[in-house]
Amino acid sequence: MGIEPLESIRSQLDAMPGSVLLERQLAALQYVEESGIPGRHLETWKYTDGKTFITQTTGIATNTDLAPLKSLQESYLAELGDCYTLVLLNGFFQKENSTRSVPEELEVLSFAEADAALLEKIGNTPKLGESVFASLNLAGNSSGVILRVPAGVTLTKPIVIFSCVTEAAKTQMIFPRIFVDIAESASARIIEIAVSELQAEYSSFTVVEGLVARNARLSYIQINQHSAAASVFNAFGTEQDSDSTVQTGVFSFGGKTTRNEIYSTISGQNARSEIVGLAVLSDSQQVDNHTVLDHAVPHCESFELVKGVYSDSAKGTFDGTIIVRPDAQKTNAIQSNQSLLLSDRATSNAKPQLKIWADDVKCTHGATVGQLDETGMFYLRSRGISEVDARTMLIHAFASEVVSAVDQGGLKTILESMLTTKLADL
Amino acid sequence: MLKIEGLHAAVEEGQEILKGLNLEVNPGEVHAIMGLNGSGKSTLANILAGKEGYDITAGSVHFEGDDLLELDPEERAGKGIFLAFQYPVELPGVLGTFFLRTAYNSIRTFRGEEKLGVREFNDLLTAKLKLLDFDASFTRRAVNEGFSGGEKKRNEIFQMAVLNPKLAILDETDSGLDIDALQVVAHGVNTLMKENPGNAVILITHYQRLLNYVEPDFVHVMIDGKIVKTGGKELALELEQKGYAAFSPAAV
Repeated sequence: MGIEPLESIRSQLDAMPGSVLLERQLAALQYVEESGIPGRHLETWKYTDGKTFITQTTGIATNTDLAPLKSLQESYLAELGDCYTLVLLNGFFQKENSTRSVPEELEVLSFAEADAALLEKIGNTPKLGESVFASLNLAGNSSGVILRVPAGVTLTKPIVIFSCVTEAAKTQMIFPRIFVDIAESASARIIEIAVSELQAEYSSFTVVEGLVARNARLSYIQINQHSAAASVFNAFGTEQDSDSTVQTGVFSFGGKTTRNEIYSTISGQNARSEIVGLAVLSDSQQVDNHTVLDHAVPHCESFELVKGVYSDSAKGTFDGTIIVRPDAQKTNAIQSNQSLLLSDRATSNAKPQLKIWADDVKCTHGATVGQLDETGMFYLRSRGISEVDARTMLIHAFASEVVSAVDQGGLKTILESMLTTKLADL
Repeated sequence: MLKIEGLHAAVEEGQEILKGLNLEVNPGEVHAIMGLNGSGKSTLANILAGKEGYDITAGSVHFEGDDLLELDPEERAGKGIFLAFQYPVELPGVLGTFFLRTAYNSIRTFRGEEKLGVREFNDLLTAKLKLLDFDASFTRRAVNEGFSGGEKKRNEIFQMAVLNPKLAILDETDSGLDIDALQVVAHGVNTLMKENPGNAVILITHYQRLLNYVEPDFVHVMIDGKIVKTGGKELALELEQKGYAAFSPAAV
């Protein structure tokens, strides 16, 4: 197709030794080339132009020195408290920097260390293969990380993954990829924080896959603190078995253009999936949250809460689908999308979709777009609170509902403080 | 303390609501303003608290010598004015204690006083709860969210107790309350007046009922944007017996 960034991926793959994974990567690249870069003509990309993710890049970022980001990491760790730490640098898993207190019962592998049976699983999570940029990630990634929690193990501390972006990524693409395998009755909480020393253009394509076995629990919260000039694509694919609970969360503070795709497939009964999302954006930042929650079996629940606060000429899009297949009787699905517009130029688009084939289900969805409540403002000001403080209080209250919904106690504090910092800039 | 002279006010759409209102309130006084719906009572309360959406076409309002109409709502609160809302606003996600502490400290800052720390402020809250015999649980919830009508009104009285305003305006705080809730509100007002004898209260109400429990020094009858008659507490009873029609300008 002659797109320069794709050429660079092609030559990277050509230089790789043959493996199960390489086959799949080549197929993924072919899929990207055949599909083309998604543009606004596609219904699912109506409000965000996929081409902006590609046009400002020339190739794949290299693995460089982590040193400049150490202090930033330390400052996060000070707030997060006790946790296990993993580091990705420009998309490359850094095993040597990832040793902080990782317990024996947590298996951490680079893709290169994984055996064929494990590699076989990568890229097979439902619906990820249909996403062009998730496929681009598969093709472009050369150093992903696998996390496995064995049966019956509950990790007591959260796993913090720093996805670091350095100077070397300027005008380049990065492809962080994380594969999480939670075995039966195991439990893990993961926080992924994107940190960038670069306040310049780059394109980050991150893919997270989660396989969650029976009676297991996974909470995966991603915090987007990318450069305000970056194009940020994130895809999350989870598949869960019976009696399991999965929470996927995206907090979008950074990035110029962010696209989050969340695919949650519930394949076992009595399972619960939660999707939580919060974007707080200013200037001309934009976010496009694209979610698909697939109920394939009976007696499952899903809860989805996606909120956005948009000031200046920021823009938010929510395109959320709930699928309830014919067998998925007694499904209980709740979806809510709420946007707060702080300026006349800010916009929000909401497209909730229910596709229900079962007849005995409870599904509710609601989408609201509004401005700050004038009556609430007057009430606060009449109590002596300044206009600025009253405004911050109301915005904070709106946004912190999502923070409260996060299933990770210690993380709430850092999210609250990030929220406060970001709101102070609005 | 408060001096309103010849106040004319219209809603921004143009309709005149207040048509030459005069009122003077001095420290230590309890005033009741009684009137039917649409007589302009709530408009008066809103204008005193600084709500937007009104055009002041004539007249003046002074509070302790300052031109009140020049001040923002938060500055008025800083000066010591408090409005208990007819319809208290629900603030989902804003915790009661945080809200009260922010308000309290904002007012202190406005007056050039030191802010209270979390612990000191909590002690103050506990003392006020005890004073009014209120349960602490509602301060730990989001402000007014999911509160019953009675709980919302009680919360207004509690905020008043914490902020200790020089002039409190209670806008139909009694409406919609059962007799128990009414007594709670009245007890709150009486307690606070006893604690702070230099403060003043304006009770805006429809009915004489509240005045059985809070004894006013003055009763004003408001009809069509004006105070048409002022008297002592016996005026409320007279009003209850004869009805508002007897006081309308046509009848007088």
